[in-house]
Amino acid sequence: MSQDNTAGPVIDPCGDIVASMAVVFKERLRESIADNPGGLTIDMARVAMVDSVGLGLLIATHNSLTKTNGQLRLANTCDDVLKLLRVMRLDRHFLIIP
Amino acid sequence: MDFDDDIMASFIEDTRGHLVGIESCLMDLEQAGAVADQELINTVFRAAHSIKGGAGFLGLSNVQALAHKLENVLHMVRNGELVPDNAVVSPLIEGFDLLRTLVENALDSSARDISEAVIALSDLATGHLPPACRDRLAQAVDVALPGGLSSIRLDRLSLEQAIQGGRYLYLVEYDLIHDIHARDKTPLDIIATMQSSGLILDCRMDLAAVGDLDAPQTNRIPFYLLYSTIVDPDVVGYLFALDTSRIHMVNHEALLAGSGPDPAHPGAPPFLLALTGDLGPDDLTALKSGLLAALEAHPDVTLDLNAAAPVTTAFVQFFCAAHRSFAARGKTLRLAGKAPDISRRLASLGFDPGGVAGCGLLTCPWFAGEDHS
Repeated sequence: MSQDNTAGPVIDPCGDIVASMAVVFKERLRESIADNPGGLTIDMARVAMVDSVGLGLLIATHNSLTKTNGQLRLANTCDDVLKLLRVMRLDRHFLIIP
Repeated sequence: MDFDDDIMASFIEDTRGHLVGIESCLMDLEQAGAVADQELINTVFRAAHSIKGGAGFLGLSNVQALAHKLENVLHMVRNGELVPDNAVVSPLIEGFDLLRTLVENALDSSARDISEAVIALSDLATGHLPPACRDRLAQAVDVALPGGLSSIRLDRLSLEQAIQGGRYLYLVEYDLIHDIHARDKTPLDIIATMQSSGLILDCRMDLAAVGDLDAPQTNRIPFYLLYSTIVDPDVVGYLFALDTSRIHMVNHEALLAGSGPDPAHPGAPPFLLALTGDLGPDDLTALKSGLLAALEAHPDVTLDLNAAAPVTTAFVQFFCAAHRSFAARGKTLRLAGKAPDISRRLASLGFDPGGVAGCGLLTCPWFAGEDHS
């Protein structure tokens, strides 16, 4: 499993990862992984909130990457989202980059 | 300052309050030794417990872990299992000092290496325990989850502490989409509600149920929490705002007793259900009703296959689901009268010991004796 923080493409959503943007964002993630199955970084700098649908999207991304031995990396995650990921124990599955 | 900043500031302020005078309390404990005042011990214990709860809510994993270790040691002091001599009190004082430092730098606390303090406290608890009790710290207890998820594993001491005082142990099953998102709530709302009335021992999300990016958008995200509380089973559904079918009371006595008979029913013989017929759809429908009734009434149920036709794929799948349901309730479902060539027959149906590795249970009733934990 690659621990290279710079490996693979970086996707930077322009706002919260929530239900209203899930369909479009899912397609963007899917195309990115199809081109680069080894790993993906989501730059969370502009993400202040992830709702239940957004969590599902992150998990689906993780599951797609796992199939190809890739890893989902989350960079610049704000404290609120980090708290959510830790409470839900998802920090055991995603690589959180400080 | 936003709402969450307020919560963090409030937690830090509360923690400062809890820690005022802790060192002098601990020194008083050391001076009193074996005859230490219970209320003094309780004061220190409550400090660690409160800090642990708040840290858990805020996701401060190191603060929570260290407070939990301090709590474990203080619990043993309270129970008379540890005498608060210098060898015990010194690591406690150092632990509380580190806890104070972590909380004062809360946002960076999770990046700090606290392993030395955690190991010292763990060793303290283990080293001072009578040999017969040492295993409780090292012994893992697995709480099975439905849906083929790997079990929630925790140490026996934590489980014993969680159920003290007549508290109930529940396995709560939320669906993040229908139970949270559709009700315009966030996962943290649910966590906060639960932590206000009890203790979340651990949680697990069913990642596989979500599918991947090529699958249709998921409409179900199962989320399981292992939870202890004094809230009675009759009203616990209101607390979680869930149907009671999603709240499983875990038989902690059977859990602590391993796979043996339920100590709550000493000497109770296993309940036997003899199967006949070809195990087709009608038989399975009837069997499901019988098993649901048995699940409520008996801690240990055995299905006898002696008079039944050879097992089918549908029956194996049905039995595995039932086995997990029993395990989730801390109960036991066994098989009797398996054909001698059952392993070969299961292999021909597409099952094998490696294939059941993901079911999350420690023992497989089909491949008896083969550990797939």
